[in-house]
Amino acid sequence: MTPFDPWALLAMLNAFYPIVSVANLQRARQERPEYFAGGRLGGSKGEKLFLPDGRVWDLIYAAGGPASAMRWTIQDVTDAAPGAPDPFPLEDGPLAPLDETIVFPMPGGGSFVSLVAGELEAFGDSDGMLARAAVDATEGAGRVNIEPAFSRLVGPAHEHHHAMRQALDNDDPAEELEAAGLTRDTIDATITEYDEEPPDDLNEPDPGDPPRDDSDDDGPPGKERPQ
Amino acid sequence: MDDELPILWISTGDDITPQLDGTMLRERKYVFRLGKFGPFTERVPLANLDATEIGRRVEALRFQLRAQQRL
Repeated sequence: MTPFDPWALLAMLNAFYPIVSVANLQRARQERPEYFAGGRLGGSKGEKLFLPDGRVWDLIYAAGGPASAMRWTIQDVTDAAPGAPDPFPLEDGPLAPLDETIVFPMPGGGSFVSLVAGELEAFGDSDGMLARAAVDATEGAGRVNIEPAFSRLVGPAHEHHHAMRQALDNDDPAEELEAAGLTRDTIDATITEYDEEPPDDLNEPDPGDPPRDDSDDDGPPGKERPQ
Repeated sequence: MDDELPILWISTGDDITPQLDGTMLRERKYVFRLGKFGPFTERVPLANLDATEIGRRVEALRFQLRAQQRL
């Protein structure tokens, strides 16, 4: 097997495959396999060369980025393979990630009930007072006062209302329409003929004297025209 | 670094490579070094062989190697 020389591979790629792309890398792998020393292409975008001896080389810079930013490269990324420690670890930021092992305790079953009960307790026996007031109004002494007042004030109003509705139902609107002259089948442009006298014609306005003709004018009297 | 990049021929021979369409491609296979770099392996089709083709490829590789040395 041909020994692997990364600089020879890079020179070959730059010389014969000027357009940097994964497709061209695969084409070079097929057309010139000796430069790849039996390695296979792989990686997330197919831009890495995995050699049989375990070394891994990155062959495209900024693979997956814009085409103008990509270029052939040769970079040993064997130690950067997945699982290897990050040589440039990020510093801890101000926000700590959530610890998924923490389980927030569920609220107690009686907490809400006790809160509501405490608030209701402040009202005291208001429900009982309201119930007693309702009973007094309908069954107690209040009833004695309500019924005469209802029959005195609301009863006549009901009777008057019913009488008015009855009178309206008995009225025949045809008489009213005939009296108003609105019972015709067609609508005239005018209900009656126009009988007013037309106004007198106005005199034509006086246009006044015509403009003076200056061609034969010798100028204002008393002044001589300059020669 | 060696800026001259002299060529060192390792081997030259004819090779037959089967193609996907079933035909056989007859090529001349050149294996060489340029200075300390290589080996390089270039194949030139034998049909209508252009004797200057390998020279152009060698110069293209040498140009790229010099550019890489300047970086």
